[in-house]
Amino acid sequence: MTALLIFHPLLRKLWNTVFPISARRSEGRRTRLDQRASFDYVFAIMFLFILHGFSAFKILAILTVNYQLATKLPRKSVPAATWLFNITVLFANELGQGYQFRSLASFISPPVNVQVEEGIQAVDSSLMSLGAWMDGYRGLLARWEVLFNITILRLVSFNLDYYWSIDRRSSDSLEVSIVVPSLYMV
Amino acid sequence: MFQACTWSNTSKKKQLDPANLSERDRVSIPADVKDFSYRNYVAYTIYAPLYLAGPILTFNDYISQLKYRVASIERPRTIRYGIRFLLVLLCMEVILHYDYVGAISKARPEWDTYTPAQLSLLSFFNLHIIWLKLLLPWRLFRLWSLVDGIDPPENMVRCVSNNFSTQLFWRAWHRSYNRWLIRYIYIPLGGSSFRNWRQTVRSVVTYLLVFSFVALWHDIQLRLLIWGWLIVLFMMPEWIAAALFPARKWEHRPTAYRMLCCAGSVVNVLMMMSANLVGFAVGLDGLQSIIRGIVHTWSGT
Repeated sequence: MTALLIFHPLLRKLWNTVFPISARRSEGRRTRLDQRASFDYVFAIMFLFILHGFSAFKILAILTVNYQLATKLPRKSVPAATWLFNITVLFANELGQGYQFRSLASFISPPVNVQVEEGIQAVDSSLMSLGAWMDGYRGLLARWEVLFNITILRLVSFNLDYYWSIDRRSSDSLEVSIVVPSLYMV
Repeated sequence: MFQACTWSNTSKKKQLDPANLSERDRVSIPADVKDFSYRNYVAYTIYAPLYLAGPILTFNDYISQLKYRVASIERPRTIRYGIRFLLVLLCMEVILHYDYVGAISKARPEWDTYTPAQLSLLSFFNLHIIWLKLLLPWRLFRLWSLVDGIDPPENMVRCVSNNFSTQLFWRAWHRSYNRWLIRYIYIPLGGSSFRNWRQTVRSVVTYLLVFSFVALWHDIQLRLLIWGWLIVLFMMPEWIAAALFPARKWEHRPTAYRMLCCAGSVVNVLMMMSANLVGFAVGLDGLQSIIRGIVHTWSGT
């Protein structure tokens, strides 16, 4: 962890020299925001796969669904959908114990019965053995679902900040048009 | 003149320098619509230094800090913060070496053999160790983030021994989470007010909802839910006492008021010790046997 504390900021320094902030206001100019966010984005994906191995796909799937909820739903239903989804994920992660790929695969192709010498035996389907193989690569922190609680808070923060940002913009223009005449009347 | 007044008012609003906002403004001023992109979203949710344990940064604050480096990011300050982190680590080592209350409660001893004073001290020092155990990772991750140029909120802003009010305690313990709860649950639910009975009941329900969420969020376990409800129950004496003895009326007798506060704070500390023990250390059974131990010893002598 201490190594990361030094390695990560140094890597950002390198990134910043390779992709400098462009000063000119031409097409495709890179701002400080772009520079930092694209580094954070690339590092985040790498970090996820190193920490959690194949489980990173599950996290990215949850993130994507949550993002779609905030941006695609009608504005009115965003808060309710956000809370419902995130509390459900909170419970589902706990009950599903991080969704093993092998058990996920068993929903699609269940174990097959195979004739062996003593009788019939249930054997994993090929999809299930692929799942079991993927479960073998779960990275440095196998139990990603334990740490995911804190990320849930950020998912809610993004969705509600987005929801309120639209709210604020429309009410801001209203505020100006209401406040100014009332002050004239005084 | 009124026109001038409104004009200066709006210009004051406009004059907020986006490069030099306070933490409060960074949280409350929304990011631009185009900033809510998928790239920024993933960069924010999986921002490496804060991914594992926080402190929690809100999205608006993160975007604002990506645009402009905040004034509080200074090398000498970060170095001082690093040194403070090492000192706290040393403190934890020393405490664990000489003050092994964690080992005592893990060993599930016969609680009856302890005197009430010993039990209370055991709980109190256990709380110290829990406090340090949480403080260390938070400070480490905040240090990493500071080195990287992002300033998240400090999570523990108060020494655990310096708490006499339950409400202030929760404001200073895991502070970034407390800010998150206030912004995203407490305020949307309507906040709290104790002006009349109806509002008081509604406020208590709000608090119950907030702490139920807190408990479920920590871990889906019954003892944590009970912990959350105990916290709300234990906040009530403070609210009632504040209503019964308003500070205004005691203005002329400051010493007497201070003594009243002292008595209240002793009760608060005792309640806080027992609530946190249920949630994080010994569980409800443990608490029952400790209370039985205390009562038993008192009635026995």
